[in-house]
Amino acid sequence: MVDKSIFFLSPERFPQIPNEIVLGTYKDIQMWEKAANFKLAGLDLQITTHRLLATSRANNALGFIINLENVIEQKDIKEGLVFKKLVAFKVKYKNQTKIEFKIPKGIEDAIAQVKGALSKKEWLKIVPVKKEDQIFQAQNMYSGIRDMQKKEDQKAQEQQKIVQSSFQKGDISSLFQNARELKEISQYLKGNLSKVDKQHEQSDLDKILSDLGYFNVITKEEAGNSYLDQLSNQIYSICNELFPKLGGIITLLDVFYFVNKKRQTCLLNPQEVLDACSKFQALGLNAIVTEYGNVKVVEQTTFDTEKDFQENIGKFITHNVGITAEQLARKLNISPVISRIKLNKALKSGKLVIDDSIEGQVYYKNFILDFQI
Amino acid sequence: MAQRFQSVIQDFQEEKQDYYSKLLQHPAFYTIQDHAETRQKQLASWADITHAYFKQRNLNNSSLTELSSESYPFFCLQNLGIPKRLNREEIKLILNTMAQQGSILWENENFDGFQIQKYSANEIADEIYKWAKKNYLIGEINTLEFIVRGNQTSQSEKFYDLPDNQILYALEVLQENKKCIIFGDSTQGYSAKFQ
Repeated sequence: MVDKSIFFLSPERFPQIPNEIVLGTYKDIQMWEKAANFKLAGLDLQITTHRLLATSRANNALGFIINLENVIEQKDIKEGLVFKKLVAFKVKYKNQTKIEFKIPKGIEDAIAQVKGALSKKEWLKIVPVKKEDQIFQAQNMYSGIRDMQKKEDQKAQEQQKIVQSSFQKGDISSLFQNARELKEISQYLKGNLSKVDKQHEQSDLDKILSDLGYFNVITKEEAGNSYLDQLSNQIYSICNELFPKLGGIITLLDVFYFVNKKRQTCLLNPQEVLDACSKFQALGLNAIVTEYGNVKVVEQTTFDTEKDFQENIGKFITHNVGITAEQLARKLNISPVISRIKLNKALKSGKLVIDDSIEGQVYYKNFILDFQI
Repeated sequence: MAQRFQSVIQDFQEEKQDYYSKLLQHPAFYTIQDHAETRQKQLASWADITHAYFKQRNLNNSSLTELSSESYPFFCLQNLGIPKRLNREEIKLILNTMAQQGSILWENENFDGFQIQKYSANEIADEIYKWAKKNYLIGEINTLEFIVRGNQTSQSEKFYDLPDNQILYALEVLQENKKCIIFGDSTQGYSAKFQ
């Protein structure tokens, strides 16, 4: 079987051979056909048990195939001063032609694969093909790199479907199923690692999982009696990340939101969050639950209120130019509730005075004490 | 607005005029503050200014109800969009401070009507210190009785025969300004060393 024209044919014209196995794929290769002195670069090459399939990267519809049964001779050639091997073939094509391939990466593997395929001569083995298989093959008849690309596309689409299905309306169960699977895997890994080196490896694994966006959901069943303590530590770590951004104070409502956002599954109720936060002090953590005007907040005990006033609040307020809690919230990019708490704290310590009128509450620097007689 | 108050505070020393002028033009001065030290200084300032206002208007008596009525012009800042006025409770706090200083005397237990005293605690304090200097009493310890009704106190002195609590408050003003030290208590009686 000699192909009359091996160049520039649509790869789809070449049907898949029943027992053909792909041995390797190589990118960015160059080809030189010596009879017509024709050079072609930017090819993707696939080496199979039966043939070499090449496709132009610039145009997927263009390609060529060398059937290995037509190869008369195969050589490895050294090129130039620097030792570079080429794969060269003498092929039955029209009369005869020589074709050389330059493969930038993995040439040794390519040579080994070609030699192996040539010595095994798989094309001589006759494989009986069932009628059903023929129909199936006809339906899925792709060849060359294009075939690979289509398969990759199909895989990507399937994965996208799985991900999307988790977020479709009314399909919360599949979302939970995915979360459970992830957790089971991590628990399995953790369980095995703990046998080797409990402390060190687990913390490493936790860090890796954390970097991947995984959050260890503490449950009553797993934690037992230490449930609240564990939960308290975990909530504190979340608060600790948020304190610098939110100015050392977070409302319990926000804590409730952020914790459950992290958990995504087995959500906590507000009472559980409050109970866990109330244990901060007992566990020696640097935060406390306090209440400002019916608003419960988690406050960092090590937060430097004086520095915060100097660097954040103080620079927006003078003796004569006041600010409202809402205006300060916008300037500091924090919630108005927290902004008001901060202003009221400064008011309580005598740094500010308040103008409480129908028009609203405006805070000024304490001119009554600061102005000298 | 500032001019209206300017006439009220014109009898004060220059530094005090400047300070009170700034306070009276500030909207937050018309909200009684919660912070203890700020509140004390604010009420003392209000008491001082209010007494000066009564004196300027030659008022002998008034009442809390009158002062807190909508038509009463004092305790109100009008240089803003909506006039800012002290409420009844806040005015009562100022009057209580004035009663403590001896600037006013409540007429009865209802704490509504009151008599306005001629001199404020600050004025009496100034007069006592001038009298002490004139009589070479700096460095000496004198009883409150001697200061008010002693043989060196003539009847022409502003503080002659004034109630003890008013004199004591004036001495406290002097003590704050480090011009005297008060000794004793309510049972043994009070003495003061001028310095």
